[in-house]
Amino acid sequence: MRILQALRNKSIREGLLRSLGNLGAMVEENLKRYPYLLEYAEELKAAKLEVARNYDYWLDKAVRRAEEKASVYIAKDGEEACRIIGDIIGRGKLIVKAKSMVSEEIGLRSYLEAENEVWETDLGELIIQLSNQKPMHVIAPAVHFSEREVIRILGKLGIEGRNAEELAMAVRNFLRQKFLKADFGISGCNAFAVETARIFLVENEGNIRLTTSLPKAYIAIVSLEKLLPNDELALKSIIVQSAFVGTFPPSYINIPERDGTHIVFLDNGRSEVEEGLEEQLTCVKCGRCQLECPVYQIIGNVWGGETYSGPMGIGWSAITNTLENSYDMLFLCTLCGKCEEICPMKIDIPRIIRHLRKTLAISEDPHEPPPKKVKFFKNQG
Amino acid sequence: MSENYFKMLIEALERNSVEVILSPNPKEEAKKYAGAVVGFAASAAADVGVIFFTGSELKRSALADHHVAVVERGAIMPDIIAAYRLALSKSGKILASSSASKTADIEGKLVWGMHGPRKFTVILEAEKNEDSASVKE
Repeated sequence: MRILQALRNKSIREGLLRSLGNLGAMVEENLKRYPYLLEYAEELKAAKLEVARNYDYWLDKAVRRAEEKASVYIAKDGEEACRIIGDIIGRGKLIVKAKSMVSEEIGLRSYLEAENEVWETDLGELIIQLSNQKPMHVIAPAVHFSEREVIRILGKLGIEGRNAEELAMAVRNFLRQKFLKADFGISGCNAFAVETARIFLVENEGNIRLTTSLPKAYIAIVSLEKLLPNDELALKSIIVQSAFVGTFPPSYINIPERDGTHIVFLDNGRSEVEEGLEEQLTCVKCGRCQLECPVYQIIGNVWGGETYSGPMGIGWSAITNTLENSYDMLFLCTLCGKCEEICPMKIDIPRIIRHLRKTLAISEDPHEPPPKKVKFFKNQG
Repeated sequence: MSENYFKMLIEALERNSVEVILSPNPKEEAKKYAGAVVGFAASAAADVGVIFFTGSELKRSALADHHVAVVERGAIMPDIIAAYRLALSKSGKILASSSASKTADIEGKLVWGMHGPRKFTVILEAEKNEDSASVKE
């Protein structure tokens, strides 16, 4: 039913194809102008696999370094992460959030909204918050809404404007007051350098810079696949992430170093992946595979898992234990191979999807979950 | 710093829609921007036009309407990695900007000044009589 509704919704196709047109050309230009990007991507994949082979070691090291400058917590799963962050914040606080897929993964906003005032500060993500939907794309969450629809959605807040520019300026004024009064700022993390415990974040709007610096305290959620040995690799990771989806150079690179920082390291399935899914952990979540996927171009984020959609969303949903409700999605993939072809990490996503189909097929009851995961990477490094 | 990097930086900044001013005395030139927040760059990446600052510039520049960066010639490095290293040698707290704040979240329409500065100007230290046109020749 959801698929049929998505098929009838022309604005999904229009929005995604418009983004592909705008950003796809930029990717080609980036690769031509900066040939070192391909070398960075290769180096990054090797480093990410190496770290993933021994997350226990790298997490331990990251925690020890981070404790020198921040309050540090380890969350085994999303529920624990929400509880930890909820305890740090308490009740009745004003919270500004940067757009973060990992916070979507753990359902953080709705958890905190029960007892606090929470604002998404990325324009697209604010539109998603107000429309009570999930992001359509990792970097362009509201790409499927027309200007007219955005006028209606932002009108719920009393924010008025006749066009994109007026709406953006009205949102700027509205959220500036929230930034100045906020008790907590929350962000994810694009890359984490273990050696220095530095958090690297990229953006274009400037909301992350304000979120991480203005509030009285700052909370960063760092999922394990973001760990990299040193600053140089972390920097290369954010370069690759932005270049391969066409937003390079990003307007801002932020490396928050401030008092009142809390770092929550999140596992949520990453340290125990079944054999066959390990390559997914090298994904930088640039979102290019979403835009290039012929199925995604037609039905958008309906194709994939609950949080992570599109080709990369299948692997991430399996890792974060949310694929169970989306098994049918495995069979929407045409195995055309476009996602692997354009992936900066060259992740063989069709192989991951075939692997998950096989796992499902050998189960006696297709509604039963696949076999329990094993600690594949442990002690192999 | 080779002359080539100087030219590369100008071209990269212009690609990023940044206003570029060449001046033999950039600090004096910066005094003309009384209404703006002026910051001194720790380093600049020539190939992509990314300007690094030390952390002391953070809040002022993030809240500014117009951010002006002064870049001395010796701070220009070939790429981001080299520029990052130079900036880090000056301060443990750094950040970088490559353009004004922007968004294209509504129908892909580009809007400047979403949350941060609406305008970003870079004043580059130049030789006497050197202007943008002569550098590009």
